Amino acid sequence: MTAECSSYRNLIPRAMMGDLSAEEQQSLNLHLAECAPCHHEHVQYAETLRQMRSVSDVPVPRHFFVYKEDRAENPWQVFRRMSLAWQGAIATVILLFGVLTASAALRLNIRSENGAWILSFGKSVTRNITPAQAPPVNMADIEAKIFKVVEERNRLEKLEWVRTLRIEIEQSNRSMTERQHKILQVALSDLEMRLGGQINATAKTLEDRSDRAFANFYQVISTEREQDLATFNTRLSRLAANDEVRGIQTDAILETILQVAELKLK
Amino acid sequence: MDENLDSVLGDSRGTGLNAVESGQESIWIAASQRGDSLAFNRLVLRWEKAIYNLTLRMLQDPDEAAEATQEAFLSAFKNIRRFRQDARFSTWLYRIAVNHCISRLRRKPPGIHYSLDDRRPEPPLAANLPARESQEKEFFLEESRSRVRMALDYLPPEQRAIVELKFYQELTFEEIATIIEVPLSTIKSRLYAGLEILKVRLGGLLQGS
Repeated sequence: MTAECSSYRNLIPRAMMGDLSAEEQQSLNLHLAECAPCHHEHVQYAETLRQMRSVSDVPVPRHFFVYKEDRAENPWQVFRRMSLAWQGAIATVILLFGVLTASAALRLNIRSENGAWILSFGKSVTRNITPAQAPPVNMADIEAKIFKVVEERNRLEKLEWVRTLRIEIEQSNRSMTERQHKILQVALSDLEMRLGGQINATAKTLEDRSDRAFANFYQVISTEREQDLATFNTRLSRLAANDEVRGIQTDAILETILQVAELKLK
Repeated sequence: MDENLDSVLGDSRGTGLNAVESGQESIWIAASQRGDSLAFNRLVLRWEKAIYNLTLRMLQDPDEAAEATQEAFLSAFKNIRRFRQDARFSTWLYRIAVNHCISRLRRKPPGIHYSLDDRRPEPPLAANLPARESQEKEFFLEESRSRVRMALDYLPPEQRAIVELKFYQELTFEEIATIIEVPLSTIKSRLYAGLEILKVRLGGLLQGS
């Protein structure tokens, strides 16, 4: 194999992968036509690729779907997804919370003294005053002041207690009155409903009864009227019959009279 | 059903998406970024065959390949918001899948891990061949596949990934460089070195058999 073959052999796999320019491909083709070993190398590469193609794609054994629940994120991922403003806000809140917790743990004291704010940690430090530096103390005065303060405090407490009690009583009265009022309302409504129902029922009953009475009365009147009419008809018929008989009798009498008159004339 | 899906979704290998399919894919990606898992599953349907076969050829085991494929899609779903639509979705997805495969291969002890208990389904034979001829053909085909798998298993994970992406997935060198995140020249040198190894191994296995 020559040095030239070595360079051409490097081109063979590139040619297989379509990585040659047109000129390189043409040059390689010319060399392969002339050089048997390189041609054999080319055939081997072609055979290799042919065998590789035998491992073709297979169908999937199942589908690889994902579901919304698979997207559960941890808090850090959620935090990273947020905008800068939100991240800053949350970081500030966490920092503040941390500071407050640390303060509570370290027993931070914040107090105002002579117009200035004082921050201290742990127990407050008291100044030791030697007896020689202490001013003179009037015990009676202090006692009087203490009693006055205590009395005032008791008075205020009693006043507060009375005021609270008064408020409680008023509230309970109002609430009781309201409660009684509500109960009365409910009872009245109930009574009204019942009475209304009864009144309606009674009215209905009366209506029914009067209807029935009228019906009966009408029935009775009708019956009596029919009876009267029948009686009247009977009488008229009788009268008519009597008249007819009288008429016949009268005719007979008249005829008799005429016959007598005729006889007398004859 | 898979054949019908393929005809509907199109061959997703390489850059085989046309403008309509790319537009559709962009819509699905945007919906997935808003949390729509159904839209993401459409992307899964389009790309699962390519990704599964990539992992299968990389890992040489159907169960592991299925696991790696599922992990890749899960990872893609969780990180879909990081995907910028100016890049190709396939490139991004291939990167996730290849990284998963390389991680799994690195965790394995060194040596050949070709699975003798090969339960993977193979494409059906031509139906018009006589039974005896088709059996012989299938036998030689299976022999060839077995040799190739053994040879592929011999490659280091990165070389195997490059061979897979270039030869089987038909990606360009630039796309492979984006996926593997190494320079273009490194991609080419590793690919040709891998092909040389495969040529030697397959030639040697053929002579040995």
